[in-house]
Amino acid sequence: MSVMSGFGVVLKRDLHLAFRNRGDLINPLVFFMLVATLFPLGVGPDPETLMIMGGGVIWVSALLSNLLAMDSLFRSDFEDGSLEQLMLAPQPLWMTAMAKVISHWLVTGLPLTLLSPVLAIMFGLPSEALPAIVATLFLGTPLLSLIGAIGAGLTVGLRKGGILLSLLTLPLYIPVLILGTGAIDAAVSGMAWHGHLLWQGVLLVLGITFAPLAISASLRISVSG
Amino acid sequence: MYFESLSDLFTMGGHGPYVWAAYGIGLSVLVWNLLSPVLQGRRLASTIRRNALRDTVRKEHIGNEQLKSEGCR
Amino acid sequence: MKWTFFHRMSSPKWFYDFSGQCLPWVGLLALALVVTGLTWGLLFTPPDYLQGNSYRIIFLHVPSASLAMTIYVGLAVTAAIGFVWKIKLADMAVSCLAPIGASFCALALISGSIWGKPTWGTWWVWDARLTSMLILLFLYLGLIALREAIDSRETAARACAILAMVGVVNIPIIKFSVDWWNTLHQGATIKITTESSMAMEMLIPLLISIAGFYLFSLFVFLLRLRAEIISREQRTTWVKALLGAHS
Repeated sequence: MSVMSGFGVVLKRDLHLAFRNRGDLINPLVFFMLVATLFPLGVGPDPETLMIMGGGVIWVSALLSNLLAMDSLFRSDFEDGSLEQLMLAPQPLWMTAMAKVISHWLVTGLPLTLLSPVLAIMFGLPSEALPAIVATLFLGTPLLSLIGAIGAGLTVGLRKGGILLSLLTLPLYIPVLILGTGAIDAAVSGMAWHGHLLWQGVLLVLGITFAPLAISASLRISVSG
Repeated sequence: MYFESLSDLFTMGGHGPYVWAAYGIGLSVLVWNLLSPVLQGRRLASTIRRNALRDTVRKEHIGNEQLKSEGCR
Repeated sequence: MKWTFFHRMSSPKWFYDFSGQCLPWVGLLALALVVTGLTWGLLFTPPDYLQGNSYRIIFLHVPSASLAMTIYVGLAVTAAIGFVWKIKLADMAVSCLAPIGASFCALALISGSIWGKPTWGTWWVWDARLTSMLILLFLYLGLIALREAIDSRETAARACAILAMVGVVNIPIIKFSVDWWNTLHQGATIKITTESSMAMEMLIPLLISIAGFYLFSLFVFLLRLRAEIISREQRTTWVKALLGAHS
């Protein structure tokens, strides 16, 4: 079996598993909507305030729902032992990890990105801001998945991994959040927002380069330890 | 010394509470840093000694049991 | 210098003996410098002509803030050394550095906030420096939490090493993005330390205090590392002989 086909097999397998388990597919999206709904209830329905907060709220909800889904990225594979089998396979571990991260993004980050315009309209954001929201989430959520996977790899063997995972990864999510909301703010006030998007692209390239190495190292530690 | 009197030193022209609170917290951080490894080391040493003692006693106990069983035979 | 020196230095037993010899000197010097720096700053310097006496917090604040950042970088470098060359001692050092750094980071935040009240009139502003410091504290707390959560000390140290390396790569990015966020939102334009040159009579006690804090943290780091060595090597004969635990 060639290296690339191993990648494809893992990707296909993970997508299959996700689609068999509809709940895992829908829950992060429901969570995303729910968190965003809490904000108007918390601060009041004033359209002015909501428009200012909108971009930030959408991004924070996206962070949290990504994190929620992150916990299960390696867990079931770790528990039934298939993670160990994947590690023994001849293809490099970072490639397997990459396949899992991509499938994770396809079932959480991508649907979330597609759903975000609905929230943007509910928060009364101007229509010029919609492309900025979709574009930043499109570039930002894969980066969140990559960073989160490092934390998920480190905490996979632990019983109370969930809360620890958020403690480890949320500080690392901050730059993505700042760039994303910065672009949306710029778009809302009618300024150019492509600069922020390019920076997000830079971070994504950095993430794709280095995160797989860190993910595979963390998986090795968790599984062998 | 810069300050004229002791009360001047405590009040520091109205900033006293802030300065002294900061220094108090700073001192407690330094003391914590100092005490926690010392206490940890002490606890560790007593645990290791206790474990060693337990192992010795257990060894002797097993030895006695063997002697006893040999005596019975 | 030969490689044998490097390897001998990384042997826990050799390091334990060697650090035992240095320990009293480091401790005494640290004590002398910290006491000199802080009392000088607290009692003998004139007040700042703008901030009055509240600026005396600087003699605590600047050393701890600088230590908090230095220790994180040192921690990541140690982690990388331990990870690449598989040196046990470096693994141990990683888990000893985190609580020290976290405590100084917390001290920098608290003293900065106390300083802020008389100077700016609020306890907290979302200033770029304060915010980055807060994030640094969260990074430290994550390291400590990860270490506490993993039972095996060896695994915990290696997991912390990965996290520290990921963190140190992220720190410049976080710093840059927070600075940028702050200029974007124009909210707080106040700076803690004005960039103007400090008067010599204030600078000298500050430098003494910084040196004292660095030496102090070296001292407590050695104390922690020695405890960690004893804990990890407790099954070896030299530790048992050292503690007088015969079995």
